[in-house]
Amino acid sequence: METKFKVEVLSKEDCVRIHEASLKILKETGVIFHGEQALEIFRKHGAEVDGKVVKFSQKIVEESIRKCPSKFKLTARDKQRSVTVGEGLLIHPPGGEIFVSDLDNGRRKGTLKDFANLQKLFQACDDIDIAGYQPISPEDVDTDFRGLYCTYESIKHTNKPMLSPMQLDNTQQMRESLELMEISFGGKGFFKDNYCTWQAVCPNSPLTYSDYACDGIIEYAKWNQPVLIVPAPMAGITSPAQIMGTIILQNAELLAGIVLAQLVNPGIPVIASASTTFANLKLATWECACPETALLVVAITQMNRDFYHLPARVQTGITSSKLVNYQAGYETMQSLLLSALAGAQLTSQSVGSMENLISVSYEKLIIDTEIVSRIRRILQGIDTSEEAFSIDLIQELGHKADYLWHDSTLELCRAGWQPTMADWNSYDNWHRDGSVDIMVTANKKVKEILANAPDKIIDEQLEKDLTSYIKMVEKNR
Amino acid sequence: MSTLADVAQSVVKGQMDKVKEHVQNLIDAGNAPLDIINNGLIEGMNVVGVHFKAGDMFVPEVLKSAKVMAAGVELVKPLIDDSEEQSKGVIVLGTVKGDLHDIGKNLVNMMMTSSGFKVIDIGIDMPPEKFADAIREHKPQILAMSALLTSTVYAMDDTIKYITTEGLRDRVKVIIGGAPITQEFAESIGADGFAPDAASAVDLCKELV
Ligand code: B1M
Repeated sequence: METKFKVEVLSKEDCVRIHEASLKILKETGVIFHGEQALEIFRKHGAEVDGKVVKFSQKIVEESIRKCPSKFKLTARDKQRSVTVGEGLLIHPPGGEIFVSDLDNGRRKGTLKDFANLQKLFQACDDIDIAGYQPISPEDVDTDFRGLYCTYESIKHTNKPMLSPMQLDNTQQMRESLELMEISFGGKGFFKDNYCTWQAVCPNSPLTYSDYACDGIIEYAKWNQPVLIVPAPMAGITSPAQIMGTIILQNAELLAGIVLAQLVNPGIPVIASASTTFANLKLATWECACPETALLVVAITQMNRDFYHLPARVQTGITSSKLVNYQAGYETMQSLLLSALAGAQLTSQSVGSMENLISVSYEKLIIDTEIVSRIRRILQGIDTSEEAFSIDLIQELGHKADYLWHDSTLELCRAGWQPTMADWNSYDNWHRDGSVDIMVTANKKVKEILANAPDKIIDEQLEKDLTSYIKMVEKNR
Repeated sequence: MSTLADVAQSVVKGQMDKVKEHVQNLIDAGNAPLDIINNGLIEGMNVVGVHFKAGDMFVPEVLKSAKVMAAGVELVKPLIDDSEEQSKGVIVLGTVKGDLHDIGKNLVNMMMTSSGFKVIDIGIDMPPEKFADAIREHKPQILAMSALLTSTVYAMDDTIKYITTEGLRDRVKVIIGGAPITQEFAESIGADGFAPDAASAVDLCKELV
C-alpha cells in the first residue's frame, strides 16, 4: 500500500536541475567504461567513444530512461510469493557482509552453514519479501565456487524471489549461478520470459565502470534478467563534499549504466539504486549512519521514483554500531523510516547488517523485521473515512470514559499494531518474567525458527539436478 | 626570526605560506637542512598524527598538513646531497589482484609518507608479478598489501608464495591490512604483520624497519 504522505527534500525544479547537470557531465566529461565489450556496444550505437571515455547525448540518455519499465514482476519459485518491484515497499536481505555474529558464539567469519541459516530466517520472516543474495561470505567454500554454493543454499531453503550472490567474480561464475537458478525454476529458457533475479552492479566512483561492473550489466541483460545499478560514492572522498554535487555525480553514473543496459536489451528493467553515503571525513570512511546520508537517500529516491519513474531501491536502515544496542536501533530507524516515507520501493541492508556493512547479526536481523513491520504500519497512514470519524460514538458516550467496554473497541482491538520483539510490559511484570533483554528474545526466536525449519524445501529430484550441475562445474574447472 | 617550532606549528595548522617563509628563514639563518626536516617538518606531522589519532583532526586537514610539509621539504631538498637524504625506509604498497578498493590503501600511503617513509604506490588490482617487479626495482624494506574482499584476501597468500619462489621474500617484511583481515589470517599466510588502520600501519612499519 502506498503511503498518503511523503517526505521530500527536493523541489520539482531541483529534480530538473539535477537531471540537467547530470546530462552536462555525461556529455562533456563522460564516463569511463573499462569493459571492451561495453565500449564496442557504445561504438556500435553511435555514442562518442574516446579511448575508454564514453560521452552521452541527451537523446540517448532520455530514450534509454523511457525504455525502462517503472515496475515489473519478480517471479518466485512459489508463485504466491512473487512480488511486483516498483510498487509498495519490498525488503531484501543484506549482502556482502564479512563477519557474522550471534549471542552464543560472538563475532566470527561465516560458513556455508551460517549462509543457509540466514536463508532459513529470510524464508520464515514475513517482513522480508526477497531472499538469496549474500548476507555472509562462506569462508569454508573455495572462492571459485562460493557464488555457486550460495545460490544452491538459497534455492534449498527459500522459495521467495531470490537475488544472485554478490561475489560472482567473472562472467563464467555469473552464468553458472544463473544456470543453476534456472534449473530450480524448471530448466533452460525460463528466464527468457520471466524476471527472477538480479545482481548488484557498482560503478567505481567517480564516473567509472570497471570491467567487472560492465560484465554484470551485460550478462544479466543478455539473460533477460533485471539490471541493478548501485552507485556508491562517498561524499568528500569519491564525490563532492556537497550533498547536491554527490547526488548529481551518482545520478550521472546511474544514467550511464541505464544506457548500457538498454542498448544490450531494450526494455530490460533497471532498478535504480544507491549506496551513496556522506563520508565520515574524520576517518575518511563510508558512513551509512550520518543524517546527511539519510537525506541523500531521500533525495535519490525522489529522483529515481518520482522523476525517472524507475523502481527505486536504496541501501538504508544501516548502522555503524558494533553491538546490537541503542545506537544500532536509532541509526537503523533513522534512514529506513525516512526512505520509506520518501517512497523507496525496495531496500537493501535493512535487516541484520552492522558496522557499515561489515558484519551481520542473527539477532539484529530478527529485531529489524519488527522495525520494518512498524514502518509498514506507519506507511498505511490513518483511516480518514466518515466511519472513522466516530462522531456518533463520541456523542453516544459523551463524558463517560467507557470506550474500553464498548463494542466498537472490541471490534477493533486486534487491529492495532503489536510488537514481536519490543517489551511493552510494566517494570514489575518484566522483572517477574526474568528481566529479559531484547537480544535474548531475538536469540530465542532465531533458535525457534532454525529448529522448525526443514533441512530443505526442495524435492529429491531437484536436489539431484542441482548437485549434479555443481559437480559438473567443479569437474570442468 | 623563525624557529623549528614555528615550522612544526605551520605544518600542524596547514599554513602553506607560513611554512615556506619559516623554512626559508631557517635556511638563510644557516640551520642544517636535515634538522629542519626532522625537527621541524616531520615533528609537525608527528603532532598531526597525535591529533588525528585523538579524533581532533579530520583527514582532509591531515592531507593539507602533509602537503604543507612536502612543500617545506621541497625547499630544503636541493641543499641535501643524495648520500645524506634518508627516508625512514621504502615501502611498496598496493591493492591485490581482483580488488578495486583503494581508499584505505590511499590513507595508509598518506600516513606512511607523512611519517617520513618513501612509498611506492603501485595501484589497485595488482597481480603477484607486479609486486615482485616492484621489489626488484625499488628495493623496499616493506611490502604492504591491502584487500577489502573475502575473495581477494587469498591473493595476499598467492603474492607471498610468489615472491618466495622468486627468491625475494627474505628481502622484505610483509604487512597486510583491510576490513576482512585479522591477525590470525596474517599469521596463517606468513605475513610479518597486520594493522587494523592507517595509523597503526605506520607504527608497525616503524617497528619492522
Ligand atoms: C598494508 O597495510 C595496511 C594496513 C591497514 C589497511 C590496509 C593496508 N588497507 C586498509 N587498511 C585499514 O586502514 C584503513 C583506515 O585506516 C581501513 O581501510 P578501509 O578500506 O577498510 O576503509 C576505508 C578508509 C573506507 N572504506 C572503504 O573505502 C570501503 C567501504 C565499502 C562500503 C565499499 C566501497 C566504498 C566500494 N566497494 Co565494496 N565496499 C565495501 C566497504 C564496506 C566497508 N564498510 O568497509 C565492501 C568491502 N565491498 C564489498 C563488495 C561486495 C563489493 N565492493 C565493490 C565495489 C565497491 C565500490 C567501487 C563501489 C567502492 C570502492 C571505491 C574505492 N575507490 O575504493 C565490488 C567489488 C569490486 C572489486 N572487485 O573490488 C563489490 C563486489 C560490490 C559489487 N557488487 O560490485 C563488500 C565485501 C564483500 C566480501 N564479502 O568480500 C563490502 C564489505 C560491502 C558490502 N557489505 O557489500 C582499514 O581496513
